[in-house]
Amino acid sequence: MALGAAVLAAGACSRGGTRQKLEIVLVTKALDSEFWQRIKSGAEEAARADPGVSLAVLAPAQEINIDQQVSILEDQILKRVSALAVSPAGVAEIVPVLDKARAAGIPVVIVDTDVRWPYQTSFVGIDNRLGGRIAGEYILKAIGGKGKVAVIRGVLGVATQEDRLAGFREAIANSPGVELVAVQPANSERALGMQVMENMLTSHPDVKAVFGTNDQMALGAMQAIAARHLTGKIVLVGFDATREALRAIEAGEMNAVMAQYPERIGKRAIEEAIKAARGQPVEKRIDIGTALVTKENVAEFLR
Amino acid sequence: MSPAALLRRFGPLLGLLALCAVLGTLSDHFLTFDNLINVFRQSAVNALLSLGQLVVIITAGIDLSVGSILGLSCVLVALLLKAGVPPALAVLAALGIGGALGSVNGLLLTKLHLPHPFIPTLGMMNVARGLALVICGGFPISELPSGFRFWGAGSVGWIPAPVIVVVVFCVVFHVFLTRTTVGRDIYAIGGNPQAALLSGVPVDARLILVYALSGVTAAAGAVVLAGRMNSGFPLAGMGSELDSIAAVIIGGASFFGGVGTVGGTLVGALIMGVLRNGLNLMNVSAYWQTVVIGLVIVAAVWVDVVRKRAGEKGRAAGK
Amino acid sequence: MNQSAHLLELRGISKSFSGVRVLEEVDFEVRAAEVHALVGENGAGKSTLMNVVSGIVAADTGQMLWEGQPVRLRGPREAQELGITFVHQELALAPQLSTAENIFLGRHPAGRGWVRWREIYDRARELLDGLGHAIDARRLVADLSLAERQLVEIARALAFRARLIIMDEPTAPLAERDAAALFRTIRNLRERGVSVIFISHRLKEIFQVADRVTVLRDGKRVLTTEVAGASVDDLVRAMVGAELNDHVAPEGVAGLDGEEAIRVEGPVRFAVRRGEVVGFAGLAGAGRTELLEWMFGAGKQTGQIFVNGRPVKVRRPLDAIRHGMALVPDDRKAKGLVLGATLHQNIALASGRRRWFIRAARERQAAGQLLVELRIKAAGLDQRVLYLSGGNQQKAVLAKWLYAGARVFLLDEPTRGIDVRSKAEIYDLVRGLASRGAAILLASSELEELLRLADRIVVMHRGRIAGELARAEATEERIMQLATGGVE
Repeated sequence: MALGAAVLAAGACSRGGTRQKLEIVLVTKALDSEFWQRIKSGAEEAARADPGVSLAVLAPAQEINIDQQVSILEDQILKRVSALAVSPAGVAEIVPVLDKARAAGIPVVIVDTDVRWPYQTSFVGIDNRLGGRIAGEYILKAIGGKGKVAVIRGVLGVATQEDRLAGFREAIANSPGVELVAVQPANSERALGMQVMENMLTSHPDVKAVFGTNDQMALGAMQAIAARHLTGKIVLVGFDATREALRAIEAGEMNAVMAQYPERIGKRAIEEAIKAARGQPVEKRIDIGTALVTKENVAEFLR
Repeated sequence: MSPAALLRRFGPLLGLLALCAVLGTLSDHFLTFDNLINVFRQSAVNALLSLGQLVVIITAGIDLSVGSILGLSCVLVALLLKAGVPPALAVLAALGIGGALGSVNGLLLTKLHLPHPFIPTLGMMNVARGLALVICGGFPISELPSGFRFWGAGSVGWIPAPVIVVVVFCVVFHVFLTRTTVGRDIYAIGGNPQAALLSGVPVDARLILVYALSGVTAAAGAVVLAGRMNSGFPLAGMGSELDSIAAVIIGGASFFGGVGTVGGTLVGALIMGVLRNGLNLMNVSAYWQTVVIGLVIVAAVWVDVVRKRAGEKGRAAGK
Repeated sequence: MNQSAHLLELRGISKSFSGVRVLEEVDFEVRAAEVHALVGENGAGKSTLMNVVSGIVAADTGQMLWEGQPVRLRGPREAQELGITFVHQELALAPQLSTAENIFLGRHPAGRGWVRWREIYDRARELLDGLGHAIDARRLVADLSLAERQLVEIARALAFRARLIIMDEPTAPLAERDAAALFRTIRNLRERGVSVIFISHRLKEIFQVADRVTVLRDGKRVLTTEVAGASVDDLVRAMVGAELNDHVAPEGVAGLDGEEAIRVEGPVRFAVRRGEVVGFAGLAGAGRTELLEWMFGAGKQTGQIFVNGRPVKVRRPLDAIRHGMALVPDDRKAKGLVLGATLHQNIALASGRRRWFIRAARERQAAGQLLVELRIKAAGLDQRVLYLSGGNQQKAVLAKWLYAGARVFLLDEPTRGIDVRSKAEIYDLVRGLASRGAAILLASSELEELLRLADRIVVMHRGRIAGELARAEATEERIMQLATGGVE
């Protein structure tokens, strides 16, 4: 595997050698949330640190526009960029395009959402399953081991979201007093998250805790909860640790989030991409790490 | 042909060529063979949908449900394939379902005497999309057999398969519109439905046919898209109804009916594909792309209005 | 009566539209508390004259005096303020509002911006009662019958203190009973000092309700007389013109002993033979267009159609076409042609039902021939019919049916709005078709035209056939008499 990566990298290097600057392109699922914006800024930081590198960050208008991402990738591959960093919007849909990148000799670093493509140069992200589990354990403790809980999750079929949900389920598996009454998708969008929460509150008025697998949806849920004057009565946990969510924790409107350090993800992903483009050795899996943020430690994250 | 008539006939095409020239100077990669092939492949789905939309718009109607019919067909064809149905049959079934859904639009419009096709197709837009999500539980259905994927991702030589599909459909629709009596009926209905009726045109039957055709092309688009994406995902085609309308209008058809050609529509779809591709190559964000496309639509229609008015003035003076 | 008793006086009113003289030096007076009828053939100028009185249209020359004072109206609002209200055939009511609201539409009694609802309802009730009818002022206009809506319009006029109410063909859509009720209302108005100008084609009605009557013909006033002491004949003669006693001797038409081509039975009954031209006369609203469109499968009436002696079901125009019928509609731009399409496309539109593919070459050849035969002046088969003159457009419609091989022609006002030469050419064409065995039904408001072309004239009145006249016995007066409801 590592040999294969090195060969690929060498191939990319010979191509890169004929160019002034290395062209690195980061393609995310969307740019409509703080999470992606922070990955972008981390990536830009890495690019700034290296004068021989020019970075472009592109994305479709919404996470659900999978075919738009395919088109963007195809066009970048055509331009024979030096390396790609991709957050795939889908698995079966994107992998064939990644194969094309490989055929063109372009190394690909996978960011945030793992697709387990055999030829990926590297994966930079977090262990989402662990993150989900930690969130689940927090909720268990917060509700005293019994009661109804619900999950609001992102686009179906996407590894990150599936892993977080799976980790959560693991955490509550051995607690018979806890009932998972609903798992609803909201496509990582805030407005949808609010709508879904409203419906959940109607059908399960006695729900005690909600886990939103990303902050946007959790923030939407937070507004729905506030509209019914239930703030503080329902345990609400998000995922990403965006500034708005952190301030909500400070204000007591949200209980906790899983921090992801998206800047670090972006920065590291681009660093690996640059290395791959230059033919240097690259680590296969980089786990940036997660942490649980609650009112106790929120201050240090807000810095 | 007079220069004015030339301009009228080939206006959109000239626009496309001009656009390509401009993009060629702005990006080195644009005018390469590989990229142009990419553009054709990327425009194929929209081109197919636009053909169906064209026929509808010629009758002074509109079909808002094509994106949703595409999504539902996408999911259904994937399901059939996963259940072991041979690709050829699955494709035919999908086309049939698309046609059936489209006919429902037509039936609602004509039998219920709804005031405007906006209404039934808006309803279908929601129903079909909802059904698509219900049927697959929101999950995409992936890993489709390669015999099927050919239609979206394969090539014959250097010609991408979707392009062949588009060309075939274009030829069929062109012949249909210009050489058959049914095609002439359709233009007549758009031009003056009352006069058409009083000339013996079975207006209701033709309208149902037109919406059925729109459903069929949406299903064809679904087949190509599923092949390209290697999955039947329920949100496929979201927003694509507007792209198809844009392509038809940029291509010179009129919302008031009675005007429109296959060639113009194809050019309209290519203009949109070229724009998106060119902007991608220039690393312009998706948000700006949407703005640009909106401006192009308004510009295209405005040019059309100006042309028509100039033409009328010339004729009135000469009368 | 001396001059100052006249409420309204018009002197020397003339008006032209696009070079066509519609009113010529018309004098007209209405006294206070008078019901004054205004009659004339279609196109005599009655509507235009009333539009001048009500301020909708400005006269080119002439003077208007109201209560002895000269006035110059700049718009209908000024006329209303003087006290002149025009109740049109298309009533101007808001159906979703109540009766009372409609009566005061635009002029709600209000104080400081707040509408006084109680006052509105009370006054509305007063007005309606005063008119002698019990309509609940709260009922929605949408729920009222046509006759009741008319009343609301009249009440509205009264609410604006109208002194003169103009009614245009108010009984045209009404049943007998409602018409009688309307006359009672009009008499009531007169008792209250309001004058009414009453435009109508129904001469008998005029004798029921009017005090005086004025006859217009070709834009001129030809007669004004007290109703008492006048006869229907006097009026008809004035409308039609004493000079028109002779009519053009008809040219010979091929034998009238052809077989029956088409027959209609039911509330309306008649038959047309091959080679025959049957004219349909009648006033506006007599039901000719409705009859023809029904026969062609585009209308709603009861009856049975027989083609070549056999009963047929005509549910839609396509059925009629298949039985060899053709309809040249009264409005060629809205119903007869696809204006944005070319001559070729329009001519070929009604044909080819049995074929899938267009045989362009064959079509063009036949269409080209028709272009020549009918002498259609156009820049070619590919010119859009939008740019053709009225006469050429009408010929295009005829060409379409010739191309389709029709044998029964339903012509509705075929020469309306057409230049003289095209008219003559179309007359020739009609005669030619008949001589070749086609059966022709010709509905026309131009009596001259009917007398010139028809072998027989069927006169319609209120949706039924009032009578039939053979060519030899048909005169304008007799046609008019039947058309206005007189009995032969």
